Amino acid sequence: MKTETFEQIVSRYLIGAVLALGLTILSYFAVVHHWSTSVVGLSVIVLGLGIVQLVVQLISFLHLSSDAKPYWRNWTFLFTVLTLSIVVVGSLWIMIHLNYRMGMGPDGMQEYMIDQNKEGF
Amino acid sequence: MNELAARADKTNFGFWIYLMTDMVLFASLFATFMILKDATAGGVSGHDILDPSYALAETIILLTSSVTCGIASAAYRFKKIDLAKILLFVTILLGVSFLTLELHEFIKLATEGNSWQASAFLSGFFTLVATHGLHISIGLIWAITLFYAILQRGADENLTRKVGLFALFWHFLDIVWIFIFAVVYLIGGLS
Repeated sequence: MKTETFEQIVSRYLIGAVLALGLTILSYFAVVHHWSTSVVGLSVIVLGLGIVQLVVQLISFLHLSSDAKPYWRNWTFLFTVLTLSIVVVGSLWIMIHLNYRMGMGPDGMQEYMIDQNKEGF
Repeated sequence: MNELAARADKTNFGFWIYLMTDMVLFASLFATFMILKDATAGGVSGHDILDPSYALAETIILLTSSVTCGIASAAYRFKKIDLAKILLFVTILLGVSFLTLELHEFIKLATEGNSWQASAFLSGFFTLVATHGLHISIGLIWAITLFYAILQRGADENLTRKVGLFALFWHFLDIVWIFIFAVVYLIGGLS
């Protein structure tokens, strides 16, 4: 691992801070000024800017790029990202497709649930 | 590598693994929130109660504290004790302001009848945001004990390692907050 001087560390932090601040304000304006008319479009913009900021902070604050061989921190981080992607995307996928798997649309599901409620459990 | 450095290296990696598992915990809470965000039970939706400007202020405060904390840790390692003390103190002040803003928001919501019991959306919201808030509270207690220890001991090899771990924890909490800001306050506030 290269040893940095104090000044190098401070400048790494300040560059990271300016970039992170810029990205935060950018995503705020994207939503407040409606850069996209659709909810999906705005969500993609905001999440994309969030992921860019994640990378900025990982490099400039956590200094992940300086991980020494055999890169334990980087590999465990990537594995965790894989795990949490499966948790988040998998949960959303299952829950959004529930009505479809039940063979009815959201309205049909609503009616079905009201009927079930009337019958009692 | 001498013995102390080898031990510091191990502790550092162990703490890193803890942070990774904590990330999975937050991921499950994020998934829960995203699934429940439209289940408002006829009550308020994200658009009614979530204020992006308020959250932006919280975000900037936490980001600044992350920077001051990281530089404090580096300053302490480079034996710039006075600078480390000042920056750690600023970190604590910013952390307390962040927590105050968050608690203010929670109390306002709860007293207006929008507590975690009102709907699945609010349960998901409170669980996710308050779990982060709980981490921040624990981090603040940690920071205060470290600040006290630095005042008592000055430069100390063992304390350098602990201050480094705290900085790692605080950076991690800032990264989690970025996604709370994006997913809850920006995207969740759309509908």
